[in-house]
Amino acid sequence: MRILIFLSAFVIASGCSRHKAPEGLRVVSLSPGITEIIYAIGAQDALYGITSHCTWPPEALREKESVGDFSFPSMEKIALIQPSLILAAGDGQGKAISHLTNAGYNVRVFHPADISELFRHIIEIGRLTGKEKKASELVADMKKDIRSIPKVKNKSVFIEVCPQPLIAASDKTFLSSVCEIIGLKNIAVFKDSYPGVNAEWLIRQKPDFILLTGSSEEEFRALHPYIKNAKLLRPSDIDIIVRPGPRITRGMREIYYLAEDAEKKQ
Amino acid sequence: MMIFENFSAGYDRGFVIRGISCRLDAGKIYALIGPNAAGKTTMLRSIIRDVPLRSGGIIIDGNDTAYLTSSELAKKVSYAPSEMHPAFDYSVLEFVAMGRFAVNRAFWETEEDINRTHEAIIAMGLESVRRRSVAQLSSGQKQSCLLAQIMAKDTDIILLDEPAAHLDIAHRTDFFGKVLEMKNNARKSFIITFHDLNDALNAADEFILLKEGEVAAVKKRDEINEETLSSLYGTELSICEFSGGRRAVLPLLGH
Amino acid sequence: MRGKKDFMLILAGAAAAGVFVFFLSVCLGHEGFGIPEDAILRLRMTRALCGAAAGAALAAAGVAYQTVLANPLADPYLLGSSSGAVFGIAALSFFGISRAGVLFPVTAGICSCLTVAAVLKIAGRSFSKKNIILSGVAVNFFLSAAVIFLISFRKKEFFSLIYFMMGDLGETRMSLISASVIIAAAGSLFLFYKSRFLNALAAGKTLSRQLGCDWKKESLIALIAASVVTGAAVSVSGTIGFIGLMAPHIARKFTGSDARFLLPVSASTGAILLMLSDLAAKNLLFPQEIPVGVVTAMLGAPFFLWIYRK
Repeated sequence: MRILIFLSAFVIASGCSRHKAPEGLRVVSLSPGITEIIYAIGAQDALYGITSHCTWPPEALREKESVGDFSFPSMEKIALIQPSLILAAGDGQGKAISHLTNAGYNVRVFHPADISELFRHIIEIGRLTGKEKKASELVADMKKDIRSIPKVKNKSVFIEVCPQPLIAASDKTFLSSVCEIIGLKNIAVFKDSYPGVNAEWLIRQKPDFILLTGSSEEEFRALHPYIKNAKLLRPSDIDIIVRPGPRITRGMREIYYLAEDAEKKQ
Repeated sequence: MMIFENFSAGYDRGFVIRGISCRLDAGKIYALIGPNAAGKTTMLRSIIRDVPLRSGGIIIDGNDTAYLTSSELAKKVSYAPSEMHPAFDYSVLEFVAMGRFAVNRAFWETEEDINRTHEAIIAMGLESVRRRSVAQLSSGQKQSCLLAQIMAKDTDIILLDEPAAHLDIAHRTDFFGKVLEMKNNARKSFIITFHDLNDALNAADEFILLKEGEVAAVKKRDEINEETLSSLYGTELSICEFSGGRRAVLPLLGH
Repeated sequence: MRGKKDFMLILAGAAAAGVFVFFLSVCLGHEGFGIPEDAILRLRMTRALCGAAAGAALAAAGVAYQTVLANPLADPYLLGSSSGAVFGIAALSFFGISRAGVLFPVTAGICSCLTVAAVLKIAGRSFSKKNIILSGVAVNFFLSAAVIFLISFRKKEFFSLIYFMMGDLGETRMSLISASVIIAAAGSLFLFYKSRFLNALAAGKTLSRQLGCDWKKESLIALIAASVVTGAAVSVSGTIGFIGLMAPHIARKFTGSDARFLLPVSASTGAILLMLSDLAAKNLLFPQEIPVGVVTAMLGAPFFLWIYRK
């Protein structure tokens, strides 16, 4: 089925390329984080397509055409938009990216490993969309913001992605590097970014905090009644901590305050 | 002992038996004979309600079988198919003991159950193989197992479907010898379909002639002659007589 | 002939082996052998309990399916019974019902009954060995697709349910575990109580009738009980294939085919097999986990072929 969709997208795409492509920059963003960056640097006029997960800013889904799911975007919709540039996040999008690249699209993957790489990516997106100035202003603001966030002292954290089966965000992820900046050391040191782990192992590692991104506190407690000592941190808005985008500084602040509150409660 | 009253049975597709009315006496061996596709197996299986009833009924010891429970019926009538292919390795001992389930459904067999089982195994000469799996036995031994199971059940009426179809002449003689013993010593009644008419002529007391799902006649052994058999099977048959009243039937083959 | 006394001996042996392996799966971990700290002890005991209960239940259901259908290849997984149960659970989560308790095993049991009914209907009246397996495979494919379709609407639980479809013993919600264990135990005990009927049914339709067993009624009862037991097992463990196939065949080597002996020994064998498979699933790539259904399938699929060729 997917092959069929791909083939038809391919036919449409190659058919279109023979005609005259529309003038100007036509960007499709396949990542909520990138969509946020584009809006933050004021380049949204060049944005023609986003995914159904791009919920911020709220007007994005109203103004822009959705090309569907993050991992399985509709090749036909993308072909109809005739983008001159596709920006993707990479993680979990391998299939879509290779299909789009094979179809001859200009695909750029932005998969930041840490905050400084995110800054470089923001500058690069600014360059690609002709908003260099706004981009460097944004980066400067974010850097300033981060400097003002207090740090937790030498605490360890486990970042939960899915409660059952238990899946972690390892030290190879962007979220992990962000936690490290505010003083939370990730205990999940693995080759994979999102390894499934054993609950026994988690009990033994005795992390100070468990940062929940895939379940609520009650859900996690119900599924893992034997993990008792770690304090659960559940941000009110998951998007601001998992998306490599302009709001990450808010996310970092939120994690810090959650950790501080949890410490105080004790 | 057993009265058929306008008895009809059969599946929508498959063999059907129709309008059978006859009366069978206790302590006799009835041979159910007739050409292929006459409905012999269907008739036997319909007696134990393995084939759906269409109309009429069978009365055994004054009870209409349609109103008996499965276990009540099983205490009156036993049936052995011509072939069996057990899916699992039940031992001969376990297989024969299953016959007692029809009599006693308690979780464990009683001492009487165990004694009856052993008697049946000894009577059928299965002692040497009693720990072997039934599935691994020869056809003759399988038939003996079935008869032993029926012996352990101890019902008055026993239905056998071509029991000797796969047995050689010595085993056949041996097998029918045991059937005759059961008839004479325990006054059991048998309805048997015969693969070989000669066995029927030598073992049976009476003959049920079945043709196209209907009973043509019930005849005594000495009423059976060349004419009845020839017209039943639609081919010319001759009967030879030997000393001691034994008879054999032969087809007329032109050379 | 074996009687009560032999039964007690065999039962004691089977129970002792089960308890030993339970002890092993509690004490044996990545760090070596020993009694672990409290939290880990509880975790491992819950997990071993799930494994033992699900393994025993699947094996008991396997014995029942095999004897009733007189088919040595029958198994809750191959018959589609497990997939039916998973479909029931996926349907519950589709409607947003996640409060685990009695509802899960009951729904799973009902769905698994309906699935077995459908599989047998499709296979036709003859109940031939291959027809049943083929129709089971077809229904399995259909239900797996239906489950994925259902959970596509629930992005949040998507991965959990996919993992559940591969077999997962990480369940810790006590209300769900206790409800499932009670239902599975009650169903298995009922099947055990019906052992002599199962023996009669194994002889086939015609012979079971001459043994005084109402074939239609008794096989229906046994199939329903086996499916309810499967549903309870699936609600704590997900789809775990081949335990219900392997355990009865291994147990037959020790006890023969008499269901009175075969059922309890199979249950113990099933519990042991699943606990050992889970030990492997937990520790082979520690601290990462392999779904336990993957381990049992790797053992079970060759076993299936071996039985098939026999």
